[in-house]
Amino acid sequence: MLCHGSMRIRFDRGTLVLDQQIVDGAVWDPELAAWRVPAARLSEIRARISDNGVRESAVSDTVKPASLADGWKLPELRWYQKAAISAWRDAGERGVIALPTGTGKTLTALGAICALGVATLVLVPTRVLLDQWARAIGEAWSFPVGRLGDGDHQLAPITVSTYASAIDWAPRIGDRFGLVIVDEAHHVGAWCPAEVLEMLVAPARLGLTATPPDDAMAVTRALGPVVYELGVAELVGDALADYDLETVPIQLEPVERAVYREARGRFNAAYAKFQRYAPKSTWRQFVDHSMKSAEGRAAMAAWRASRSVLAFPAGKREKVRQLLARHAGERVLIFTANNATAYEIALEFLVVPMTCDIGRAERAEMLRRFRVGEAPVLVSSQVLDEGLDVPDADVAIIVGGTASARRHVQRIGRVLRPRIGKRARVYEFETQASAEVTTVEQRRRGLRGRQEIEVDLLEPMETSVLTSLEMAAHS
Amino acid sequence: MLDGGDIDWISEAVEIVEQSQGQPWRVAFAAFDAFPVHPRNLRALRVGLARVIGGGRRLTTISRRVREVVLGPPALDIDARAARIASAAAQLGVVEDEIDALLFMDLPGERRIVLKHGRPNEIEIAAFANVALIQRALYRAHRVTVWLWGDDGTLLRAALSRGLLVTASHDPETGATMLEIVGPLALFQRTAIYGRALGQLVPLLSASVRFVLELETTHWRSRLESRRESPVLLPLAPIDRRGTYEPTRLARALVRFDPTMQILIGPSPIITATSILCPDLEVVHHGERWSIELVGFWTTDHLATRLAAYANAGIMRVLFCIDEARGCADDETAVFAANVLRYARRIDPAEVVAKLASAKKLTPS
Repeated sequence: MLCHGSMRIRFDRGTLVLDQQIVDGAVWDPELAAWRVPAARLSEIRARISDNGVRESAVSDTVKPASLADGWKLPELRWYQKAAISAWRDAGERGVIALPTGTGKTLTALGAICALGVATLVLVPTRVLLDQWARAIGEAWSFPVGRLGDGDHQLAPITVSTYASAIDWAPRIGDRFGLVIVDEAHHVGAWCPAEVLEMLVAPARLGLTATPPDDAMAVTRALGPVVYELGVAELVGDALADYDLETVPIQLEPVERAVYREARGRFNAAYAKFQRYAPKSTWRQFVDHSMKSAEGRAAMAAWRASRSVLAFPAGKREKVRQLLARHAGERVLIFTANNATAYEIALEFLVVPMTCDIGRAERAEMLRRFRVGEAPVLVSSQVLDEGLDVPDADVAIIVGGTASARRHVQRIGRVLRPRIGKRARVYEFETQASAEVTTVEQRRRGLRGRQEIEVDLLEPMETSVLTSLEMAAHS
Repeated sequence: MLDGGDIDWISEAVEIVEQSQGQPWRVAFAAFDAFPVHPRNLRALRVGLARVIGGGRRLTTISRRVREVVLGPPALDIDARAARIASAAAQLGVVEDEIDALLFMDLPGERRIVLKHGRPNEIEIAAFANVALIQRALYRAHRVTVWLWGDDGTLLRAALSRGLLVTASHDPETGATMLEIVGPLALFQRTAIYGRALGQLVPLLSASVRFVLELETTHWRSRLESRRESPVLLPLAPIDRRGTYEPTRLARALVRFDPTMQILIGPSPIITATSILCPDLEVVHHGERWSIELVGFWTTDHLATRLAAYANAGIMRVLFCIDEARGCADDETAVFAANVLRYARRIDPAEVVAKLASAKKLTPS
């Protein structure tokens, strides 16, 4: 495919419209009588044009993201933040930086934006993070910050968007930014559809995460590989406060135990039957299968009933009370399995719930009251898990949650903001003789050092793969 | 799809809602879980109930104020809790017993059931539930084909206004208008990124006398095709303002400029043996009827093809308004410049009127 004479490149609805088929995979649009490629291939196209020796003056390319005016007031970056930006730039300004929660990923990203100096689009999963990022950028940069999501539709050279809004807006604005940053980048390919990133021309891409996904193909393809990574274990005592983790065993009351056993028994029977029928199936496949029959739906109802017992039984209620009394006057974060439990705890103890249902202004006020000590306890099921810039807290009480190691690491990270003399306390509830024991064990994997986690991951691999990894380790 | 055979269990659900008035919606929803109905239909029912009964934010101001006053340091025993509640009730001027109910009453999961307009209608609920069912299927679709009978161009315009690519044709044997709708990125891969935009078209299906909808989706890496066709219980089609915004703005500007002009926004599509033409405006100016189309991205070939289609359809007075920034190929439009008005950013009504005076009638090819 050669580029002859002149060339036109236009951006249209997340794709580039070309008057020549200059790269593989371009699709002919008969309606428009022109070629189309995903917008993310802009760099490749420009490289191909350059390789073919086409003069710049012969290219009509209207895709030109703006440069940023100089107006930055950034604090001094820490050693690992500088190292991360350096590694990312060395990797061609594409890649993922993995740092634990509370170590300043946002500031690292601001350093990257400042270094590059091009119009930037920041993608975040939630409205809460949208607000947080917009404020953080606003404090460091003198000009207005654009916002897409949570009722806002304002564009600016630096714009923050929720993933959901980006799905709608990317086709329209995908040609305006030279850098795209994806916060909580482990969501790429799922919550953050990879197609959104395909609709953006931005050649520079930065992903931020506290926990890179095990299956990183979607992230790598959209943003690049992990170019810099540090774990909790490596930063505790330095950029993160030291902490103690205590398991709090919970006993169900007789009535609760009876309800749990009955529900769990019904579920286990149905699940075991399914496993015999499909031994290598996943949980997701069981859920899909169960929707198709009355028996399956009854099994899922039994599963929900068993989880409902574990969410906030009397034993957990009493332990929360004891721990709040023990840590009176300290800032405490309580994590629950769902919003209903968060509201139940808030109602019981008259403490502040932080959920996605709470509006922006009220959230900001709640965090202010938490910061100054007027409302020293926050309870949440998910909002506090990821990225939210929570003021320094001393205690985390994990009342319930999933087996997700990622979420667990992020939750604990909420209380590891360093302070001289601080040693954080993390309490994790574990209902005895229940599925929660396994859940707790699974999610604690994320807290181990990298070395230990790598060993665990190697175990189920086939011999041939293991051999190649061993060879790599010795080379 | 939900139909007359589902009215019994929907009626039972409505009774539960009636009996649960004053309680949070989640109480009623939890009762629905016991229905021997596919969860997909239960989800659709919830959407239908929300659309018919409404559930917008109520009592936000009150609840937020109660939270400001009541919530704070933990109340660790009954006495401390009671004292805080009593103090808050006095401060807010409400009865102590109301405080607990007011605390989270405005939040979606905790909103109370209030039937402002009495018992909701089961047929109406089923209709909105069907919209939700079709939309849910569309959210995973990467290609949609629609056959429409009696369509006035509403769905075609709505699809185009949402940035979708639409190939329209007419089948003279069946009398159907066929629309193939994809998103631009779907030209390269299977993607469901346009699902929401596609889903927004669903309420417009009822604007046609009859429709058949075929979806191509991917589920667990398998390609699936599914079909929905009328008769399907659907609510009346809403007026799609978004589909007519730009033409509406131009129409208003033209009328302000020349009040003698008669303008029809979104005239019926022109169906020929080989194409479907959808002018945005039909304008009568000095006794002459003109079709005006606001073209998106264009190439010379694209314009030439469309002009020929109009001529062959017997529509001789056509004006294309093209955005200069959206030209995608070498500009050779001088050949038919008389029927093309170029603009940057906004269309000047004076230039449109001048163009209508000087434009040439097309000749069939």
